Amino acid sequence: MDLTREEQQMLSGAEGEGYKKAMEILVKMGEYSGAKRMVPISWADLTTFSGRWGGHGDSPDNDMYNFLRAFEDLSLKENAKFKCPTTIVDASNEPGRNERMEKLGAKLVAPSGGSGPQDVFPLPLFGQYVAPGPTNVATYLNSMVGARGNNEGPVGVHMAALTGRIPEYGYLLDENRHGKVLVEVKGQLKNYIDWAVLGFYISKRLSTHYWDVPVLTGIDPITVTSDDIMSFCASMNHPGSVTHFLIEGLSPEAATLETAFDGKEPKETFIVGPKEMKEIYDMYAPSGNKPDIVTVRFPLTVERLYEVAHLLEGKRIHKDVSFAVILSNSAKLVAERYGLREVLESAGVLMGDRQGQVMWNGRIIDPWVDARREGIKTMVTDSLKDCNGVGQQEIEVALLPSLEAVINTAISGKIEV
Amino acid sequence: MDLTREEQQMLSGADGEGYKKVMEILVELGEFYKAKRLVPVSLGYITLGPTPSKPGKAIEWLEELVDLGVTFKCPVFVPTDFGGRVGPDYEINRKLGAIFAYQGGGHARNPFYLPVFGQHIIGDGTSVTHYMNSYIGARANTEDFIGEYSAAIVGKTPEYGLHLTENRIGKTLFDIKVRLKDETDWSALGYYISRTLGTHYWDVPVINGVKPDEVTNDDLDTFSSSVPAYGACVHSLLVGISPEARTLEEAFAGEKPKQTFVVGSEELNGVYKTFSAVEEKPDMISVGGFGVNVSIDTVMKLVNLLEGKKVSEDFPTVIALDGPVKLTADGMGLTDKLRKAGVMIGMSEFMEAHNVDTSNLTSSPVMSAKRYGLKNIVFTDAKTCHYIENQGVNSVLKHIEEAAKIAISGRIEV
Amino acid sequence: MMEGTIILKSTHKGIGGIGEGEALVCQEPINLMADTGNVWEDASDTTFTSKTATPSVFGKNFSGKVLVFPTGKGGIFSSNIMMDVVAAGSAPKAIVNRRTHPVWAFLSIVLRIPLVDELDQDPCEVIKTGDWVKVDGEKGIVEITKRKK
Repeated sequence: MDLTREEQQMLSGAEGEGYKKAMEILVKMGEYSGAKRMVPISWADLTTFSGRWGGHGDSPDNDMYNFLRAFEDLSLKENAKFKCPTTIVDASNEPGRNERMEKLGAKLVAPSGGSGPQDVFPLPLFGQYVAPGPTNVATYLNSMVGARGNNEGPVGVHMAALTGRIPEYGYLLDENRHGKVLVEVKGQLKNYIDWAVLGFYISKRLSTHYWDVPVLTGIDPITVTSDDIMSFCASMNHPGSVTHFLIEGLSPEAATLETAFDGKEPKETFIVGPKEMKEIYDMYAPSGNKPDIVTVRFPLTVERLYEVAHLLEGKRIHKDVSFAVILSNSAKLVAERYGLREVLESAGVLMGDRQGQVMWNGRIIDPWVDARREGIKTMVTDSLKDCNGVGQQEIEVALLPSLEAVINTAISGKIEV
Repeated sequence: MDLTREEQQMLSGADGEGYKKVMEILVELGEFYKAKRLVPVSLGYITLGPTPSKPGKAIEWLEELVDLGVTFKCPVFVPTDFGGRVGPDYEINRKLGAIFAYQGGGHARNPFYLPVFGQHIIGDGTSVTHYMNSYIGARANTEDFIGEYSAAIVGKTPEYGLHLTENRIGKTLFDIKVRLKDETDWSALGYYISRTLGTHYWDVPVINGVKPDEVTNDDLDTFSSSVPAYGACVHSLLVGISPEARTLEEAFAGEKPKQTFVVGSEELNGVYKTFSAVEEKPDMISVGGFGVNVSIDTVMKLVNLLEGKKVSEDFPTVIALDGPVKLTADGMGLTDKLRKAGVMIGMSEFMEAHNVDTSNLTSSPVMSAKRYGLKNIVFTDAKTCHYIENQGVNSVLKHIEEAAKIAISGRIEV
Repeated sequence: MMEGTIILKSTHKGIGGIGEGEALVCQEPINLMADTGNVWEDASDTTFTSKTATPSVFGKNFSGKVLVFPTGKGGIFSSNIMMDVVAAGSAPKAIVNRRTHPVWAFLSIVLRIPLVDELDQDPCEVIKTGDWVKVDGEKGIVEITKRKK
């Protein structure tokens, strides 16, 4: 690989052991992926790694954790700092962690921020190279912002953050960003759940060749909201692993289909319409059993907060249902300022702390891990991710087609579609 | 203009007096600008802004409209007002169906709800409009509250100005030959560009010579606040960053620039000279100001610069900290550190200290400097410097490092 | 003593009806938010108070005048301010632009201030402060009667 003088300097150990080790790892990564050189990054996000690898269940003793912890110790000893803007989620439940990260120069994302692009400080720009954390953020930044990043995983991101560099491979290269597969979207996408289902279908269909960038056509920009896009990005990574997609007329690199495909013909074309969407909805349709848990998975954005408050006005959550929401940071501020928090709480809505948690028998649990043990039988959600994640516990998890259906179900205690 | 059947219906009064009234305004404006038709808007950011009298004729006009029973036809985001109090437009916006979201007005920093490329939207004042046009590629004109509310109520706007592709193409080239060090430099660049363009702000400026990894979103946000200030430029193209200007060629759609300006250190320093000190003692230091809220980066910088020290007691040092940035700063313990150093958090603290009603935006020191006897103020952004000048105030533009030095020493080096 | 009348024609219809009065010609773009600092104390005081932004009319006010300027600039609050100015009885008689900024178009539409732009000659060159100007928004015409000093 062609290294610049600064990169060589770091590799030589002239700036300390930490930078040297980090560069060694990056160079290995680069050589493995055929990268010709490194590029400077504008931002690294250590959010996925807040001390708990995987995000579900505590595993403070795993190798990855220990490895990165040791790296941090080394950097702290050498008084080294992250060489590019770096963000991390507040982990004040782990004593001393925030202080350590601050010493290394990381910026805390607003306390208990979710992992959505709307919580990102700073928002990367088109054309910038980044090392993103959560997969849905990586997808959003590539596809909708036009920044360039791969899914490096916690180690890669940490090394990139420290050195401010990343090998130029994968989605950092033009040729890997051009569209390969054409997806014709038919019919109306009604809400963010439809978008999630669309994403699910596409990523399932692309399956093991997810690097064939899909280009969506047939979507009218007028009614698209950023909630829709965020929801789509999340399910493009679940079940599949689509890190970059293009939407004709919406993605900055896809003003036209011609530009999206760089003038070439698509390798493959398929249609996603009402029939294909129904397949997915049917897979996760509710059986009709009374739900124990009703959940809205992702942190409520401001718009959705208003929608929920509106739907709950003058009503109450059913006594046999456990219903919790989490608020994004902006939604939190607004909820407090405009009394929406009271509206929700007096309707019996539980305000959660962290994504994916629900209240059960007066305790906070993680259904992905605890559902069966806790005797939960039926869960109803707005999120396909939950359907798959919690479904592994072998309980019924059903997808409802709209936020309204979810709230109405929580109120009546029976499935409302 | 070619109106659809629904639009004609609205114009005829079939949907009620309120819709008729706003359609008439939109149609009259559309015809004035030779628009061929109306286009649907996907979302709106609306700010009413201050009025000289209280509550102001603007409020009365809106109240009359609301009484006619109209509502917004697209998601409309209304920022909570400056200083953290509910303003006189709260009821109006609530009735119209606005979504109140914490933003602090007038800037695009980390907004809760972003439009997507290609959408027609209603922009909130100029800095948000500029940001959405230039870096997201959504399409918005600068309109006042009349235009904004009318369009949001109908859900459409006349297809003129920046809603048309041909008006979005670059016309003037600014070749950047100086390194832009921080947000203050970017705000100075914005001011320089807007002064240079003068009344030719429709000639979309193309900024070339900045590498993507040398600029942050915060820089662009601050730039967006000052580039419309002297002229009315709400769309510019930053080569390599703006989605409509991935290359210089694309920025100009293959044409040659009408004019080229080189921006070197001399030009940039010229802006600092324009806003320079005439006397040693400032009456106030303000980090952030009118419609310019600070970034978390700036907060962190200031905290580091003031570490273990206290600001001078001879004059107030205020930081315009608000919204999501403040929430982060609070969580990181930065707000406390600033307070410990003697910094006032937000203009409302300053106003409270003077026993001034904080719900009255126009009593804020950046709008009513005379009231507080302020004559010589240090700012870290060029927009506020420009805006406050008309009040007989001498504005001084300084980088955050220098501002901190002045805060501690109590003197500007003239 | 009156001398000669000049007629300027627009390429399109203007806004409002007929308004006439003495011209106040500003060579710089105007934003009432940045340029008329006294309105916050007194809504009827339309004095231009910025030496750097609008030097050509510094110290002068536009109440009861035909305000001639190249175009609007800056933010969106000119309308808020103008509404109160009109209510305080200090409205301009008419507006003439080289090319009108949307904020000024909207405020003229709602406040029915006669406004014309895109004339066959540059109004900022042809009209001088003190000239008598008659603006016809319907017809898109500006009539200038030069006043000999």
